[in-house]
Amino acid sequence: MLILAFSFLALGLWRLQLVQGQAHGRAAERNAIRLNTIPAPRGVVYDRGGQILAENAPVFVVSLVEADLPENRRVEVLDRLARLLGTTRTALERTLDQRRVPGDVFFPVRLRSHLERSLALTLEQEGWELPGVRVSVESARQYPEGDLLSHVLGYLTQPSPGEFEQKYRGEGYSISSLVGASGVEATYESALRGSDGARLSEVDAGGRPLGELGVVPPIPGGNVKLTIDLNLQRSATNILRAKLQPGSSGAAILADPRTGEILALVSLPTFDANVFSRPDSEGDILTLLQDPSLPLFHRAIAGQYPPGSTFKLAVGIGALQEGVASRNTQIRSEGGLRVPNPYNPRLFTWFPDWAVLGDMNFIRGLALSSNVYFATLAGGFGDFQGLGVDRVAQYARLVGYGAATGIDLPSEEAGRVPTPTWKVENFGEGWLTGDTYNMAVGQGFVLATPLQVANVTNAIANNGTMMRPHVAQAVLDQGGRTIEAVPREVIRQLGVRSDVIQVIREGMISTLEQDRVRAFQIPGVKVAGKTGTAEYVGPRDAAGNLPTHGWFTGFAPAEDPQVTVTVFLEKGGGPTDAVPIAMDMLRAYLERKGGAG
Amino acid sequence: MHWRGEGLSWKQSDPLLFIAALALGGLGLTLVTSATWRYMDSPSLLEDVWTVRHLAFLGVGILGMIGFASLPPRVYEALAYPVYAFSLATLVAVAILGKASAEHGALAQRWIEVGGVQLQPSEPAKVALVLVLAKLFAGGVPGLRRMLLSMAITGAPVMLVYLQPDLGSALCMIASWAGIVVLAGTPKKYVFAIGGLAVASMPLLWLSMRGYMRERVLTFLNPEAYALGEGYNVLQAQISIGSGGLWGKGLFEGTQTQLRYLRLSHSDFIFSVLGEELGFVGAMAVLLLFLFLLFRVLRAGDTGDGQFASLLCGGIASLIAFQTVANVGGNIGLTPVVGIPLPFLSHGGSSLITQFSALGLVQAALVHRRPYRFEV
Repeated sequence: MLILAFSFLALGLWRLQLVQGQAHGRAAERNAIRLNTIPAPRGVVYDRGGQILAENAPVFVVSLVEADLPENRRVEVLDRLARLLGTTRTALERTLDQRRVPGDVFFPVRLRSHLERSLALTLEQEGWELPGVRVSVESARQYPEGDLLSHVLGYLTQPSPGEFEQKYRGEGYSISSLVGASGVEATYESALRGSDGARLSEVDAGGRPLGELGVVPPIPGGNVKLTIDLNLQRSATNILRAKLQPGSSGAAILADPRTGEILALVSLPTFDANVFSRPDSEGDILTLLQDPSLPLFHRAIAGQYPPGSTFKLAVGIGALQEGVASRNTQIRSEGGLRVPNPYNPRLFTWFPDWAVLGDMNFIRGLALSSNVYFATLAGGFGDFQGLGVDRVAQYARLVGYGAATGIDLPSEEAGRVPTPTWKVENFGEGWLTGDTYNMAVGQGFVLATPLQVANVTNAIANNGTMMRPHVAQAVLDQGGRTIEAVPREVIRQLGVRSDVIQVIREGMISTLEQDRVRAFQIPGVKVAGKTGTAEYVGPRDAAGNLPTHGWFTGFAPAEDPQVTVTVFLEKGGGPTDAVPIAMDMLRAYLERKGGAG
Repeated sequence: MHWRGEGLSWKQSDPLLFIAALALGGLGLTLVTSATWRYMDSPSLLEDVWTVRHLAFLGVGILGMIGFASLPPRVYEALAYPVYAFSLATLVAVAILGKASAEHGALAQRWIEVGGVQLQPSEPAKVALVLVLAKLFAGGVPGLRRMLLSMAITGAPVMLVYLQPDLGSALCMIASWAGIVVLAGTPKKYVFAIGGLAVASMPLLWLSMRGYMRERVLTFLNPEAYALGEGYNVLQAQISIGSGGLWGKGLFEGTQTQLRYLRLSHSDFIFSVLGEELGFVGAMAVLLLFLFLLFRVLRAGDTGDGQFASLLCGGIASLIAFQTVANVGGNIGLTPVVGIPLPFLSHGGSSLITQFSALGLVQAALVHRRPYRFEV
């Protein structure tokens, strides 16, 4: 019986050591040798003058490798750690449950980041008493300008497990990697991220490194230099914020029409992107997501609004190019158009102008922003043959409406250029002349983003080239040398006669000379522009008028355009509110140019 | 006291048994050192408290062995019941005054502190039980009454250690009882009846087990599923032994041991250190050494005077054999881990001293036997 039992043991030893010996040998090696990634520092983002907009701040992170924590000491160690961190063991266990990687017990699960230095040192010193607990220095994304550029820069988040499997695993990310979730951080993710290094080391059962076996150093990410001018961005933001009605929103874009470079891109209300890299900020993020004023929404590129009279620029270009109108085409506004009802000739619909404006040529029509003038050009009236809805839509698309500009930022919207087919499909009704009139003045079914409006102006200012707007200039290496320049890209040439652009520009210059906005002019600098006041469906005011969006888009100096400015106000009027804001922004730009030059 | 009519002849002792025990003890010392020297800040063996303590335990154990060998078996037979009663008293004292310590996430109360020294009374209690059972069965052919009495005598300490909870020690006691029952020539009907009863009571045993005990059984059945809990030790033990291969990684060279993946490596898992560092060859050599030692103990029982000495040696052999098989089986994953130290090797004063002393009892049977007893 004794011999039987011992033979049994000998057989067990035989199986374990001689039959399965190699497999167990490998397991022992895997135990003792660990591969840790060394995260690559993410690239820094600069403004066009080299000021830092996004950088990495070192933070202490405490994590737990569960494989290194003996089960019988778990309660004791977690209690001790919880006491040091000022939390409870239950809370730590909850975090572990949320963040552990199933099947990988060697994965360091992050418990807390942004530790105080003194706390990090304490944890380091107590290392022997806290098996499995690891303190590491990681970098956290930091945006020193706070909420000033959050829509442009974006932020980092940890992708959901589903997203990770689909998009990121194949690209060499680890499950805990942070990735650019919006803005430049997302668009230039591949340039900014660099490539992680690795460290092969022998560790003891507590996971403490004993010696290094090999290191592959990380390759830092490239730095991205933006076209944004931080100081101009700050001035523009302050100007817009000061003039915004409480609880209202707005957007502003300053761009270089010659290159498509965006100099300032403002969307209000905004948010502080640092929230996303702060620890335990779930509550703050939730607040942002639930804020009814939608601070996370990038209105400048994704807000779709009726463009109002700024759309007359597209109608004007079409009418001039097609010979429907010339500089001298005379149209009289008697305060509105009587539009006959197609089903009953004795009934009329009144399409109002904003005033009785009398006889106007093209320049005056544009300068006064006469609805009658442009409705007639678009839809015709009496004997006057207009462009017709198809050609209006064609020219609207030519100048960029109805399609995203392709700016180097995510989630841009395309706006809408309506057509008769579209109306039938969506409303089951035929297209009426009244619809063409409404479309001519940027009302009704037309929708545009502030960026699209700005890019029409860019094309007019540079004599007919649709440039692709962009916020990044170049990707630089650590020494500041350009690795990759963001190309200056032409979307298309408008292909219209040069006199067409000249007449439009003359009308835009004249706009700023009209009585109602003359007072806002900047001495010594001639500005050209177009106002817009677009009604939208909302609560009427005391006089029974619908609320309006205010627009202005223009360029300066008129003779040699260097900058375009586009202002959108959710609540307000074009000439009354948007124009003074735009003029202040131009002043800020010119002062900077003067100061710098 | 005088013990007339009995000889005391050291010449009659078994030097081979002594040498085998000494060899196991020396190897244990070496392996404990290998498992613990890195715990120290300065890697000097003299400062390794585990090594120093282990050496001291060995010394006391060997002195105990000689001391116990110098008294004749009749003394032990005479003192069997008082010793048993005393050991029960110590177990009760543990239950009342004992020091609780957290083991495997559950509190266990197995220790008692006397004058700054921690004692584990369940270790000597095992030998005390063997002593009293040997005396009981030496009295004649076991009948039903004697059987029931022996079960009551065994049941008392078994319950006390099982409640500590210490499943391993309880099993050891049951094993030595079973060994003595068989060696005493108990009629087959009782053996089969008891065997059947044992199988039938398995579910009851399962129901009465503490959480950690059940977990150990489950872990034994599937260690990978419990890789971080109880199963961790079993899995790491198997990796350690398995990675040792034929010749082992060399003393002080086993990564599993030296980097502390193997836990409890100086106590319950000392055999894994052996398997990793000295390989299949070393492990087999130790098993053969144990087998040799056990046969020498059984031989001593046959040679000694009378049924008491014979059953005493048989009980001690059963105890050592069961502990060895259960410990090694647990280490290599053939049986559940029940927390039984490996005799003569595992670190732990109470267990080491008890085992060497028990060999003293075996030697006593040889040393004090009447020469030429067939001539009387």
